[in-house]
Amino acid sequence: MKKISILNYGCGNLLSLERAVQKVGKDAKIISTPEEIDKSDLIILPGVGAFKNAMNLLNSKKFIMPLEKYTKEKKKPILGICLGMQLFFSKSYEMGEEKGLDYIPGEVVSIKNTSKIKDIKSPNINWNKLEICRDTNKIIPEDLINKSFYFIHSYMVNVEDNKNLIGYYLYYDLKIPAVVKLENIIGLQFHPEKSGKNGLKLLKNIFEILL
Amino acid sequence: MRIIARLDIKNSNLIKSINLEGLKVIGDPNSFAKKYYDEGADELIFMDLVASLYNRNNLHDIVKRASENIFIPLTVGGGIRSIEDALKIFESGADKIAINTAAIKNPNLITKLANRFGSQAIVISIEAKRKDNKLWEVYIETGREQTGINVVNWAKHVSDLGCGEILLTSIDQEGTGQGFDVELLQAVTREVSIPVIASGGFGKLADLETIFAKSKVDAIAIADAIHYEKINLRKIRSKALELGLDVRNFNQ
Repeated sequence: MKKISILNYGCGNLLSLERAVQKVGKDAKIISTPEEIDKSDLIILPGVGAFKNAMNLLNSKKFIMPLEKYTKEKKKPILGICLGMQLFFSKSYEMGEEKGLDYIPGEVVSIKNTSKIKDIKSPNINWNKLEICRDTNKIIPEDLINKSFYFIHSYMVNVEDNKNLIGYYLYYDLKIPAVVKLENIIGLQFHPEKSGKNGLKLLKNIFEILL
Repeated sequence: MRIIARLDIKNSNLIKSINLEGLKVIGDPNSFAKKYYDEGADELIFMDLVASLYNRNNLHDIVKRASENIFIPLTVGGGIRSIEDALKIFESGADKIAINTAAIKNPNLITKLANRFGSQAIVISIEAKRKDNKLWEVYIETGREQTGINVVNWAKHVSDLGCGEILLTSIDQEGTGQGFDVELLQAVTREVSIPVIASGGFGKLADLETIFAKSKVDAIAIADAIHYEKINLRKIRSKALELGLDVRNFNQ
């Protein structure tokens, strides 16, 4: 069976993610060393909390180079969830400018500053409906379009190249990127492992596409 | 708008409380939790009502079991005093922690927890008791001890300190089924821009209408109205849709 690895760098609810992967019939392994990265067939990059903190952790655990080799050179599949997806981008403005993993061109900006609406709620903690702009690889199965997924974030990505944007949701005056893809890299702003049965269905589909 | 099932727990049992005082054992929290997941709860809150008294949270096993087959966010509260306590709860499968007493005693803990786990994982639970016309006081130790702190001021303060969400429980309304304290919710949501969960008092569908017409709450927490099957989550969701509220598109 193909090896799905959940990267443990001290960020995120790994237990739920592991159980969600198992629930859709796959083997999940939580990995904590740089050596295990290369042995994986698919890596899930979880993450909650602040961007800078996550980059520091990835750095101090020496994950950045092996991850780059895995993702950019070998072009093996990687799935980023929530902050994990944001880390794929070039840089973030959360707590000062900070460089990201820079796999996908774009930047991470605050929802509050991006919106023109003064009393916008942030973080957005809600089940929002997924809208699709283009999805040539059918990452989102037909029956999940317009279904709700669980979002919890105060920062959002600005995707530089529109062809990397698969899906989004509407929030006040904003169109917030929810699903991004560049070749072997997929990012989800919401938590599929916390989005009920539809979230599990989506995970299953993504594994089928990526593996 | 999120519809949250709240499970108050005492010695591993789901209990019915009135004014935050545990009264009657209802049953096994895990079987209720699973049922609410299947019925479309958007989130679950587990609250250990006596943890504060013993300085420890006893929900680890319940949360661990819940996270085996429940794939929605789990918030856990009661007796969390430190980064270490929080870590243990997160490792059991919680997505967010709710703190009250420890935050009052040491407000810096909020910032520390937010820096360590992210703001989105830190819910401040505020237990509010009405004092005067449109004045509420913060209580701690599950509604047993008063603090002299004004609820609206405290809500603003905790939001500045970096918490991601407020769980606002009206002690007066809790367990009565007599409707939310709408004025309280109004007063708090007017002052903060982080999400506020309304808790305490839900008894009938009409309560939904009142609360959303009059305040900007983001979620409602429901306890014994669903535990005793006076109403179910499906009916609440259909009513919310009928009122034009933005709720999760749930149909399995």
